[in-house]
Amino acid sequence: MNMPDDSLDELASAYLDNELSASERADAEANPQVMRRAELFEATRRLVAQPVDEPSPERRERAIAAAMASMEAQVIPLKGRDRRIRWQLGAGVGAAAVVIGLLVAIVASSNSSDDSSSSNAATAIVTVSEPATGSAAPSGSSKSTQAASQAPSPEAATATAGSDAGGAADSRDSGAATASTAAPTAATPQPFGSSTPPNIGQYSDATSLGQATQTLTASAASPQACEGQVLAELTWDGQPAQLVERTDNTRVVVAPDCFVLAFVDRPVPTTAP
Amino acid sequence: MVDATDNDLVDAARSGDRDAMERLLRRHHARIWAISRRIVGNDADAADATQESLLAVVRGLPRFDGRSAFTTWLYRVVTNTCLDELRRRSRRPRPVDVLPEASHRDPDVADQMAIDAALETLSPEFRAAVVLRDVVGLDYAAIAEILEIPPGTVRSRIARGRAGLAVELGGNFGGGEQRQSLEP
Repeated sequence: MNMPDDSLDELASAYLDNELSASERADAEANPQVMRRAELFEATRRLVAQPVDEPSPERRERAIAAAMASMEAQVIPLKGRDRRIRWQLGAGVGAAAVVIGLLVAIVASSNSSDDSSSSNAATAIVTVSEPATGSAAPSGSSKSTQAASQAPSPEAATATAGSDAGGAADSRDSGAATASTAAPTAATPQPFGSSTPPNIGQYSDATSLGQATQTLTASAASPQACEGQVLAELTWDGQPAQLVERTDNTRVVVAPDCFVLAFVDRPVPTTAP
Repeated sequence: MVDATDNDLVDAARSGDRDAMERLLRRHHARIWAISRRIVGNDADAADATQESLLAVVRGLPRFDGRSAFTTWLYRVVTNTCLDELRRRSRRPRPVDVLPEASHRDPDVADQMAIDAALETLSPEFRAAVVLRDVVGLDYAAIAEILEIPPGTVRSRIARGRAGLAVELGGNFGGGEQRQSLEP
C-alpha cells in the first residue's frame, strides 16, 4: 500500500500517541512503512521528552515573588476602580433622578396650569423655584444657602416644595411648579407650550433637558459652585441637593456643601423661548 | 489545605488568598518552565516567558471562568506567552546561553543542544503542538482546546513536527532522513 508521506506520517504519529480508532490502528500495524515511521517518531519523542534543566532556586523564587508582588499591586487599583465605579454609578443614578424629577415637574406643571387648586405639593419630587422677577435666568441673584426644606424620606426620592409652592395657577407667573410622582406621561417628551417654567430656558421639551445633563468625572467643593440662583430642590443619590444656575449661565447640581455633582451642559439662555 | 486540589486553590486564590495563589504557582512552576524552555529554546528567554506566564496567571485568574480545567487554561496562557516571546525575539538580538566548550560537553548537554536546534527549525505553531504532546503528555483533544484549533490540525502539526525533528535529529539516533519544508 503506497501512501503519501504526510498521510503515512500522520498515521504513524497518531499510532504512537494512541489516537487512532481500532480500524486505523489495524491498518497502521499492517503497514511496515507506518511502523518504521512510528519507530523513528518514538525516538524523537524520547529526546524531546527528556527533562530540561531546572532553573536555579534563586531564579524560581524571584519569579514567584515577582508574580506574587503583582497580586498585591493588583489589589490597590482594583479597589480604586471599584470606588470610581461606585461613584460613577452613584452619579449616574443621581443624574437620572434629576432628569426624572425635572421630567415629572415639567409634565406636572403643564397639567397644573389648568388646575389652580393644585394640592399635591407634599408629594413633589422636584420644586422648580421661579426667580422673583419672573424672567428667564436672571443674573445676579444669589443662591439661598439652605434648601427650603429637605426630603423627609430619601427612599421615596422626594423633596418637599419650597415655601411658595403649590398655590400657583400658572408656573410661568406664579413662582412654583410642583410635580406628582405619579405623572403618567413623564416618559413622553412634553412640549412646554405656554406653561414652560422660565428656568428651563431653551429646552423645548423635557427630553432635551434630560439629554443635556452630564455627570462630572471629578469635582471639588468650591464656594463659587454655590453662587447663583437655586432652580430646584431635589434628591441626589438619596441626599438633598440643589439645581443651581450660576452667574456664568451654567447650571450645576450641588450638594449642600457646594460639591458639584453634575453639570447641565448647555448654557442657560437669557431670554425665554 | 495540605492535599488541596487545583480547583480548591484556584477558588481560594480568586477570592484573594495569597497563600493559595503562591501554592498554585509553586505547584505548576516546573511544568511552566519545561514548556517554556522547550518552546523558546534557551534559558534566558525561558526565564522571561516563565516570569510572564506567572504574572499572566496572577492577573488573569480572576477572569478564569472554570469552564475548562485549570491546567488547560494554564497551558494556554504559557503557550501564548511563549509564542509572544518568540515573536518579540524575532525583532531583537537573541540572547546566547553560556555553553561549555564542545570538547567538554557531556552527552546530555549535547543532546539538549541538538534538541533545541531541531525544535528551532519547526515553526512555533508546530513546536507548541509537539511540546504539549511530548513534554506535557496531553492528548490531541486537550491540545486542540489549548491551541484553539481542530483536533485534526493538531494531529497534522504533530506529525509534520515529528517528521521535521526526525530529519534534524537523524544523527542522534542513526537516522538519515531527508529535509523537507516544515512551514505550516
